This record gives sequence, C-alpha cells and structure tokens, in this order.
Amino acid sequence: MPVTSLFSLFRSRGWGRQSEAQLDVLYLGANTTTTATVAPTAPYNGMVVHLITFHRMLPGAFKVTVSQREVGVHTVQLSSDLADVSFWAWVTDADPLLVTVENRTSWPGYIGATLATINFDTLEQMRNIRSQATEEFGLSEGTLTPGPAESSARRG
Amino acid sequence: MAVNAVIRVLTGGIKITDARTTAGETKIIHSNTSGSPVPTTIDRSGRVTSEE
Repeated sequence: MPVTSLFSLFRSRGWGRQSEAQLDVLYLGANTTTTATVAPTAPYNGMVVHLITFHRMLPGAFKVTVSQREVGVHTVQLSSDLADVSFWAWVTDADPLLVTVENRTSWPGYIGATLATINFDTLEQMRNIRSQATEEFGLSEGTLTPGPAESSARRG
Repeated sequence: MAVNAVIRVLTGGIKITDARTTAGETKIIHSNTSGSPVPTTIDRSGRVTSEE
C-alpha cells in the first residue's frame, strides 16, 4: 500500500490528529550543515511524520536529509523553490527525527519547512494503531520506509 | 564561538531537543503559535527542550 493511501486510511479511520508544524532555519552560514533533532511535544507523545514541504529557499542551494533509527536515511537535493520530501516515520522522544539541512552556497541562506504529522496522545495509542494497521492491511515494515529519492517535486 | 545557524520552531506539536552545526553554534528559538518565544532549558549535555 503506497504511503499516500496509508495516510488516507488513517484520516478515514480517525486515527491520531492531523497537524502541520513549522520549522524555520532563519539563518544558515555559507557551506554549513545543521541538524535538528525533532520530537513530539505536549500534549502528544508520539507522531507520524509523513511529509516535509520546504519553501522560501534558493533552488539548488540546499540538500536535505531526514533520518530516523527505524526508517534509515533519506536525502533529497532541493531543486525547486517549493519541494516535498515524502516518507513515513513513527517518531517518539526515544526515536526522534533528524532533519539535516546543508547550505551548499558560499553565502548565508534561509529555508522554511512545514512538517505534516499525525499526532498521538500516548505511546500506547500509537503502538496499538500501528499494530492494528499492520495486522488489518497487511502492512510490512517495508511499506513504512521512505519514499523514492525523486519525491522532491515542483509544485504551484 | 560565532552563531552559524538560527532555527525557529513553533512548539504546537513538535519540539527540537538538540541541534548541531558543522561550524559555530546553533541558536534555537521555540515559539508558540502566536510567534512569541517560549522558555527552554538546556541540560548538561547541551540538549535543548521547550518548557511549554
């Protein structure tokens, strides 16, 4: 089952709460890489991060890598001024999402990111829903790994 | 050491618990949904946590 329909499934079942969270790299020095460790915050204790949309950046200037212990590493060169990085990660305090942004230019840069998430009140709730989805729809671990590298797509 | 990156996060759902930069320091700003800064704590290992 593709990731996109997995998200639709969660929405149709009312599993978790959909949210969008803003993460801005207001300043990033020339030829510099920064890595932010992202985790859910109160009142939530677990979340699925399934899409990051990058915007307000110079095309070709940034390379973005998202990684998480469970899903591995996913690197995308942002080649347009509005780019989606699609994947599927079950994120907790103990297993956070690492977002790395590399400014490949010789001058300081700025980049904005919007994380699309499905939030869960408790870890137990997230575990139960994950288990139910896996059992009911035959999801294998492989379907929960990042999408293809070409997931960076121009929009708008 | 000079600040070489500034990251801002709206704490409505996510937080940044740590940030590292290849050169210089990283300044982290946790804001609430109205954009106002919220208090953060830094533990001995350098981890940054929003108190909101």
